[in-house]
Amino acid sequence: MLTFDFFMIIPLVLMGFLVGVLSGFFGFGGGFIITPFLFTSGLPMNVAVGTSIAQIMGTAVIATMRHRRLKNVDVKLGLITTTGAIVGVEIGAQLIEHLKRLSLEVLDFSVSLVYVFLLGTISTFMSWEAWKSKRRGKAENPKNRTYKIARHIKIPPMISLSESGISSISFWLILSLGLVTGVTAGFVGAGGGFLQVPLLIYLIGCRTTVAVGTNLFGMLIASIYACFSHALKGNVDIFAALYMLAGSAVGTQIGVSATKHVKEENLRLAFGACVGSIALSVAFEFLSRAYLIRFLGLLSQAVLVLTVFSLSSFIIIQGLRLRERFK
Amino acid sequence: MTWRKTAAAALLLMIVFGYYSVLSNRPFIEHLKETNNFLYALASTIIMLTFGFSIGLAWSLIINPQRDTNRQVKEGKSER
Repeated sequence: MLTFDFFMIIPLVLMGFLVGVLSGFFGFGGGFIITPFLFTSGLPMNVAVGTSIAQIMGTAVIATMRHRRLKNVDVKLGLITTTGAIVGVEIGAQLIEHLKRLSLEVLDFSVSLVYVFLLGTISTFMSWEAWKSKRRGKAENPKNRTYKIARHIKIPPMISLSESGISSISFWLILSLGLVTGVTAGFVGAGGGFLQVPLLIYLIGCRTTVAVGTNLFGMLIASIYACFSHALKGNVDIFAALYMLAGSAVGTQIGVSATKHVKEENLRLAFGACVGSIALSVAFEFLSRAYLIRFLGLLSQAVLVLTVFSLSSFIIIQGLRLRERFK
Repeated sequence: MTWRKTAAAALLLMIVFGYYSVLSNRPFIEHLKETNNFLYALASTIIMLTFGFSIGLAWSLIINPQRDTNRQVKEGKSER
């Protein structure tokens, strides 16, 4: 149990604020930052995971409400992808169990490899695509190229997604997207936002802001169940979650507001940079454990801290700077 | 717009009062955690959802709805 004195509360509120900024802007839950932070603060790993989910749920409510107001949430799309993701998470968990029976080393290696490969690929592709759009000097919709693949899949029932501006798309394609995200999330133990947001942009053809808002909505539904389940097992420190929520209440608003001020290609470029840094951090952490090099473990944490601070600063400054321009 | 400001102020007061009430009843909640897991899980989930919803609602009242709409018009939905 944590002792909540001044020197504990301030870092919790600050961490909540930073995660709120990133969560509102990118549509991430932020578990990859909060869980290690709570663990190093003295909570056992199971409680750190449960508490981070409780905080993510609170933040997701605030961020979804604001994104909904900005018409960035496609409820129908969110519900279908979440249904697929729930099934996928179970498949991912079964895969983990299967690998665990083989050997713990194989499991550790497979999870780290898949995680780093996926994050690296997403980061490289998104950064390259956003950089190209930026150099052209005009906002280019990525769906012009990639959405063609989705349009060729015409397995009924076909549905329309009004908020995303898509007149006809196969229900099964969206469900499969959720399933793939769920399998990956269940396998690597992450929330899945890092995969779902790019898939919604490049495969379905959503605007970047709609992908972020819809992902947050799906995350909210999933985290309600996850929070209840963890709390039932005594894994949630509700007070730590509440202190972080106080910070994220403000941070989330800044993050969401910034999505309206920052150009879509800049948002995708920042997303790519963020995912790339996480890939680097995970790779360092894996190498540190595999070859027992303590320096790489420290480097992994340093990369993560640097990423959180630099991206939060970028979002806050960018949001405020452009807000002035619009006055 | 006066009613929005009044409602936001009232809601913020309620949030602060609720927040203080939960934090000052820590021994009771810790006791609940040890004695009844189901009630603790239910209470934790409801507390986080209620605070999240209230804070979200308060922000919606504080931020002028015209501002978001105007900004969307100014920037244009270039990607649509």
